[in-house]
Amino acid sequence: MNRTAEESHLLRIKNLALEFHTERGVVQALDGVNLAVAKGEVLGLVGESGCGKTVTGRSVLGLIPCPPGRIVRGEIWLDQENLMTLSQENLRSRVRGSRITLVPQDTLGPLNPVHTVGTQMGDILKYKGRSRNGRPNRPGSDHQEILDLLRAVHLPDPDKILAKYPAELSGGQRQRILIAMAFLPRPELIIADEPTTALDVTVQAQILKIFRDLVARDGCSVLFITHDMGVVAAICDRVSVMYAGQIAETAPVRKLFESPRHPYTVKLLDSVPSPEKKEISQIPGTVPTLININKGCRFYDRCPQRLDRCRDHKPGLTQADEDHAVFCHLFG
Amino acid sequence: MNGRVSALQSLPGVGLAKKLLNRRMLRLFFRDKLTGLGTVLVLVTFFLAVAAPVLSPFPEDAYENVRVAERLQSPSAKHWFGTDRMGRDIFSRVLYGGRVTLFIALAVTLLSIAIGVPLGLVAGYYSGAIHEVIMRVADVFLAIPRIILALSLAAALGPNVPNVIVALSVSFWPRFTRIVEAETQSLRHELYIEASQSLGVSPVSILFRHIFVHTLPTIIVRGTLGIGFTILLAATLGFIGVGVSPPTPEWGLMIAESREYLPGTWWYALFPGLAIFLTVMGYILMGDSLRDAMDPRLRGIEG
Amino acid sequence: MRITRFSAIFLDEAMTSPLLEIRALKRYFPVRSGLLHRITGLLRAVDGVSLEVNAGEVIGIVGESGCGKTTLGKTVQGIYRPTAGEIFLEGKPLSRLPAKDLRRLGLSLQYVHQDPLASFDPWWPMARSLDEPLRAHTDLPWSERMERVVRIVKAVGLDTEHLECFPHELSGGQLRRLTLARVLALNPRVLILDEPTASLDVSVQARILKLLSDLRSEFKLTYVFISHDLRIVRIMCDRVAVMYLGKVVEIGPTEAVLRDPRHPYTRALLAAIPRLSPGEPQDENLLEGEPPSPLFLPQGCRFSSRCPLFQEGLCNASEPALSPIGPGHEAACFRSAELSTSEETVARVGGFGLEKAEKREGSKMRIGESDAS
Repeated sequence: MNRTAEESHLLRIKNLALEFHTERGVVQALDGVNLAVAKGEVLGLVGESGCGKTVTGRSVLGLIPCPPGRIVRGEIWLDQENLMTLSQENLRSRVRGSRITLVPQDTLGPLNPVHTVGTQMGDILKYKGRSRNGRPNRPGSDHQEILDLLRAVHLPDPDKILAKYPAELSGGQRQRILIAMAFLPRPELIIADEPTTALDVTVQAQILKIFRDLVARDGCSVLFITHDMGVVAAICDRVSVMYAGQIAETAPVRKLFESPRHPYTVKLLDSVPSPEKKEISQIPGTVPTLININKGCRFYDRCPQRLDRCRDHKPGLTQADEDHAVFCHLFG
Repeated sequence: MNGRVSALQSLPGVGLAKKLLNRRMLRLFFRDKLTGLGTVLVLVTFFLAVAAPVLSPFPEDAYENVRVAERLQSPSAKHWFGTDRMGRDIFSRVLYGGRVTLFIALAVTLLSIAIGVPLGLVAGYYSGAIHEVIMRVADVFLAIPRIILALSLAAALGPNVPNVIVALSVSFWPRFTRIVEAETQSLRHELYIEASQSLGVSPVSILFRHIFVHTLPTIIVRGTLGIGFTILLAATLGFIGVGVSPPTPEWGLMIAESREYLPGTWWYALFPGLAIFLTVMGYILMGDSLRDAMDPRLRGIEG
Repeated sequence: MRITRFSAIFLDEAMTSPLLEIRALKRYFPVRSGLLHRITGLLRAVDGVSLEVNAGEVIGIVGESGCGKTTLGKTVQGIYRPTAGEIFLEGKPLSRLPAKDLRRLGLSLQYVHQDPLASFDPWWPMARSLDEPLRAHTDLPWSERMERVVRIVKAVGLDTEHLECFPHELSGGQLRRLTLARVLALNPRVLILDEPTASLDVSVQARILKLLSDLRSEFKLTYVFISHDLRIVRIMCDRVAVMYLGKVVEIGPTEAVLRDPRHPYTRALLAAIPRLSPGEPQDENLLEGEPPSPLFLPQGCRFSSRCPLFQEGLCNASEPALSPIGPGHEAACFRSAELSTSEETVARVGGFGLEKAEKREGSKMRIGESDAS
């Protein structure tokens, strides 16, 4: 990847390593994670539970509790700004909630139960403002903007919804509200952490469609964290597959599905049930605990194609293709 | 084969013990110095009470004994806490008083648990008439202030140790019924209870092997706090004169006797009073920290 | 290893009456509100479901959350008392059996909860939890019960060391296996599996499905397989019943229902499944909104408020009943004929991936090659 291409990326995570100090030992939650999200791009971050995808999202927002967490090395750049050098105070006032917003999985927790939806959405504009896109901050237009957004997330009767309390809404409705809230300050980057996992498939399909439309409208970038390959296929432009705290493979979504390179990606895709498939395969073995993990490739124990050097040497980046990066010795 | 043997060993009771004594809990328990003080006080008073016959210099003074020559002496090397109106050694009587007081408090608490907990379990597990009857009866007892109920009962029954125990227990058991009922109600809807029911496990087994075990921490906390408050109440009864009767060495009774001789013979009231204060404080401090350790949600609930 | 569908294995045991029969089952929950705690409404969680489950088959129950599939499972097992209707097991009505027979027969019908962590007492080591049903129903001494527990734990692919663990020390997949082990101790004939792979990672899900297939042949089980995921139902089930707001709206052999869905709701469920082919245009049959509350059912057909085929005067006039469409295939829709598999439908839903060649092989299926590891 040449330098200009790199500069064009809105979010750049470079060689991020993160540990958690627990009673049982040091958990190496992230190890050399590299990610880049271009402007207007939806990057999927996919992997099984415990692979570090949520932790990656949290560290971009500066929400890793220290202790027990500790960032060992790495940089996180948002445009021209190194987020790692910002103070918590700066992160909170200038980045989190304005330039970067979050769509969480849990729909009840993030909403304040004693305020109406309208109050909470109004507060976002009041305290976070619109970060950019050069739109004038006309007083009195706030309400109109909120209504427009609620219509965009397909909530009928937006005026009625605004007067309701979170507990009076269904999970699907709350997720729509949270999406609207994430888009409200016109952020540059949205981190979506499994936003459809708790929803029914029919609602999930609607939510994904809304998300696509809004991203197209605003031209913002999205880091879309999910465990569901089907969701990845439906919404992402590019996708990074994570395994045990490392990136295994990054590629445009079509390339990844059509010609996966990393043995883990291959296995993972085989184990996903789909309407087109009558059989699914299993991945032998279990995800390793990230305490005292071996130095080499973390997929070593379960890999059907492992080589001798995989055990002790961490695989570096291999460009399988111009835009297809694989971290595997088979290709290096 | 090894794995099998150890699986077998881990069976009954170990789960509970592990849960009750895990490290987090111990750390929470000993978080502050007051906790240590409470535990030390409880252990020391218990030891002194048990060892009273060995430790007291004048064991014969515990009950009826008269030494006119040594009446109302101030503290000295011979009588550490001074002597009372009969010339009895107050130090020995305070030690023996601990035996009486602790016996009453423990008996009352255990009796109340024995009555209140099973009723609470049954009331919480079943809805309908059983629940209503038990809880309304408990409510009636709870509606009367504990001190008034105990006072009138003790007065009616007559002053001796068993009657005091009965009077105090009658006013105490509904508190256990209430909390155990509330806990059972919420535990009853836990999925693992439903799972056991659908596996055809009998209600008795579910009540005692699952639900009762889960209410134990609450019962222990309430019991510990309850011992403290019961000591106070027993002393009050003794002081008013409806508790145990003389010459039983009871702390409340001793203070009552001292009233005629105050303020000159300050030691007469001071040492039994200190004994009450320290013992009650010990149990309450320990109960508080047990509560924090076992269930932080209960913080701030009165015993 | 190839797993053949069950019908083949149990041919010799073909029974004339179904193993489990549910007739017009209803389960309502009273809704109380206000100061006086008065009953102010009825939540019709299950509202007249009839099903026949044959020995050895796997029947899928599919629907969105809140459609009553879990309530149906729990009512059939006996956790909830039915409001109306009758359940027959081996041809005997469960509500009219003497207590002793009911106890024995009831045990052969077991329910496996959706949330494995919450269905074990958090203070009990696994050995004790697995021993509980044996302790309740056998007179065996403890050591013999433990031997049985160990045997079953090995059958579900775990080791004795897991018996010493407490629930929170085990992974989701391990807990799943242990919930199965616990009910298997009672030698059940019918297992009602409620979302048996909910909240599991795909790779673990695949192994649990494989285990379920293995257990089915090993213990000669019949499954009622409750799931929201048609992709899994396709892999696991011989027949499938689609539920919407407490009623079965379509039922039939899995292949028939998924290839030729004759209820607009089934079609919408299929359309909402994310495809594994990026770039492919999303299906047009997406539903708008969410199911209405089962407290206030729409007039006429329950699906009418969301139905793309809604026809004024027909669909809101009366409620459609299940009517036969093909062999064993029924749907409850006035306009189901219009949904028949025209070439156009097949093209749109991709025929649900069923090619003619596969169709011939339809009765055989497999879940992955078990990697020799």
